[in-house]
Amino acid sequence: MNPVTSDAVLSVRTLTKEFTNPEGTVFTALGGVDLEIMPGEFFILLGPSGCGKTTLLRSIAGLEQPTGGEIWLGEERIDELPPFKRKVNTVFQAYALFPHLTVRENISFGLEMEGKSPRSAEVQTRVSEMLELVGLGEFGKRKPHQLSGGQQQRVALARALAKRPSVLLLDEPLSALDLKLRREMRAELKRIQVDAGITFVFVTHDQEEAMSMGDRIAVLNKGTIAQLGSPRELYGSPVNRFVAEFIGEMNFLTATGNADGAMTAGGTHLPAAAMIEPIPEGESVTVGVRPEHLRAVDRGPINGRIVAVQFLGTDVRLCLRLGGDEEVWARVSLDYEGPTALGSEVSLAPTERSVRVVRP
Amino acid sequence: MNRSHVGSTIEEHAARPRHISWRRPGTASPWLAAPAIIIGVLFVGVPIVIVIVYSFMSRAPGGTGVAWPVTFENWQRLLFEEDFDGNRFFNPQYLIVLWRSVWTAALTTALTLVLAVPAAVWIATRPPRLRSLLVLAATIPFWTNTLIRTYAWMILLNDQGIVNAAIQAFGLDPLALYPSLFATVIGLVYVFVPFMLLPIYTSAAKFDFRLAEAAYDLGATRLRVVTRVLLPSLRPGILAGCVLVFVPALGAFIQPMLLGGAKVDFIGTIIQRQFKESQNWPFGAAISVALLALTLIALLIFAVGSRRLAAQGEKARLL
Repeated sequence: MNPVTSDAVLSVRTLTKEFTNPEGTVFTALGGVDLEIMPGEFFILLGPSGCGKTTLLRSIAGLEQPTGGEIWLGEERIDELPPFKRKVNTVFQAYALFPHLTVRENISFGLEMEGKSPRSAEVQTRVSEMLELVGLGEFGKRKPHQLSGGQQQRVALARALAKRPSVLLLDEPLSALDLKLRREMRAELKRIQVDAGITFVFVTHDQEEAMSMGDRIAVLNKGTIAQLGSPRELYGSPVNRFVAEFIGEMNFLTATGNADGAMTAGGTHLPAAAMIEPIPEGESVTVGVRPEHLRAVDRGPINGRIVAVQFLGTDVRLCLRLGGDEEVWARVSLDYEGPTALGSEVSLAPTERSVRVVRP
Repeated sequence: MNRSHVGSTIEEHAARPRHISWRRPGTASPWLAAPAIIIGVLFVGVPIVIVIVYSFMSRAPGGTGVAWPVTFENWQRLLFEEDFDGNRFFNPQYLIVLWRSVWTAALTTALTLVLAVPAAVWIATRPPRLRSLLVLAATIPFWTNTLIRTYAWMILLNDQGIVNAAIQAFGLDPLALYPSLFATVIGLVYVFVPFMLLPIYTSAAKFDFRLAEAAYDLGATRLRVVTRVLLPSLRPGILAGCVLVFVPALGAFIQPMLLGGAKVDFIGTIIQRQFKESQNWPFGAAISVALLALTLIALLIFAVGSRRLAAQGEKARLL
C-alpha cells in the first residue's frame, strides 16, 4: 500500500490495540487513532492514565504490537518492523540507563549498535556534542547512580538523540522530577528540540506541561483522540466537556435558554452578551466559563457567598456558592479589594463572549 | 507559647538527659554474633592450624595420627620423589592430579553456568507465584543425600543402565560411560547446578527488563541485548555462583570416587586415600593445605572480579 502523499514525518492510520485479559474480556487501549505529525514539530499526546497515550507511543517505538492499522515513518511503513529497525528512539519514564556503563558509554551504545566503533573519532565527537547539548559536559565518566534524577534524565535524552532519530519519543520523561526541576526542564527540552531540529512526540498527563511545550496537542480519552489542535485552540474552544475539564479549569453550570440569555438551574441569570453562541429558548444545556472570565463587580448578574479563598501569589481565587447548590470559581486579580471573608457576598460578571455551550 | 517558656524547656532537657532504651538500627550488639564467632574459631580456625601443623610432622608408626620429628618431607613429596639410592628427582604426578582437579572444576563451573543462566532468566520472567514454585523446585535435589544421588547416576550410566539400554534399543553399540571422567563431570554438574542457579536467579529477579527494552530501542538485536545488557547485570550472581561451584568442585571426592571408578585421581580422592588406605596423615595434611592454598587463590581471583564490580557501582560486594 502506498503512503498517502503528505509531508508528515510520522503518520498513524486507524491504529487499534486490544488487550485480552486473563478472564477473556477484551480491553480496547486504542480505538482507531489517526495522526499526522509534521517535521520539526513538538507534538504532545495528552490524557489521563489509561487513555492509551503510552500504548500509542510504545506502538510507534515497536515495543507494543498494534492489533490493526498502520504506522508510517516518512515513506517507510514501520509497524511490522522490530524496534531495532525503526528510526525512532525513546526517552523512557524511568530513564532505563544502563547501570554498568558510564554516561559516555550509555550515550554511545546506540551508535555502537549501528556497527560503529565506540573509540572512533566520529562516535566520540558525537557523544561530546550530545553531552554539551544537554549540559553535562563534565559528567561523561560518571556512572548513572552517581547522578541526580534531573541529570539522569538528560543522559537518557542524550542517549536517544545521539542516534539522530527521525522522531524522538518521550514517555512522561519529567514525571519523576520535582516541580521546580520539571519547570526548568520544560524550557530546556524545548530549547534542545529546536537546537537538534528533531520531531518530538511527548506523552504526558500534565496539561500545564503540554500547554507550555507543545506546538500541537492531541487529547486522548479512552483510546481515541478527543481533540487535536494548538494549545490556544484547545484552551479557547474545547470540543467537549472532557477536553474543557482536562485543559485548564472551567466552571460548569446547567442552564436553560431564554429571551435575554439563559437561566441556570439555581436561578442565576446569564446575559446574552456573555454567550459565545446563543442558547435556543427553552433548551437545557451545560455551559462552561473559565474562572478568569469572571470579574468581581459592584452589581453583577452572578451573586453568591464566598465558600473558599485561595491566594496563589499571582492572583486570588474565590469560590462562590450561588443559588441552589451551584458553585463557581473566579480568578480575581491581586488588586481586588472586595470582601474575602468566608460567607461575605460577592458579585461577579462574566466578560463578553466567555460562556460557551459544552457538549458532553 | 512565648519565647522564655521555650527557652526554659530546653534548659530542663539539657539538665537531665532522658534515658531511652532503644538501639539505633544498624548497631547490633556484638554479643549476638558471639556464638557463631566461637564456633568458627573452635571448629574452623583451630582445625586449619592443626592440619597445617600436621603437614610438617612425620608419619605415625601405626598409621593413625602423626609423630615427631618435624619435617619438610611431605611438602617435598608433592613435587619430588626419592629412589632407593636417595637420589631426588622431579615427580609431576601430584601436579598433574592438581591440574586435573582444577580443570575439571573449571569445566563443571562452565557447564553449570551454561545450564543455569537461561534457566534463571526464564524463572525470573515467570509470574511471581510460579516463580517461587520453580525456585522451590530448584532446591528439591538438596532434600536427598548427595551420595544417593551419585549412586543413581551409577545405575543410569553403567553398561546395563538405562542410557546404554536406550542406545542399544536403537541398534547402536553400548558406550563405556561408566566409570569415566565423563561420568564424573556429569555427576559434578548435576550436584552443583542449583548452587549456580540460585544466585544467578537472585540477580535476574532484580534485573529491570525495561533496560532490555531501552537496548532494543537503541538498535540492539536480541543477541546484543543479552551480551551487552543482560549478562553484565547478572554478573554479581554469576560470580557468586562460580565461587559456590568451583570451590567445592575442586575438592570433590564422592563423584570422582564413585563415577570415575577411582581409576583417575583427583585432589579429593588422594587426600581421602592418604587418611584411610595409605594411613599417611602428614602427607594427606600437606595435600589438604595445598588444596586450601589453591582455593584461596581462586577466591582471590573472584574477589578481584567483585571489587571491579564494586567499583562499577554494584551494591553487593561478594568478598
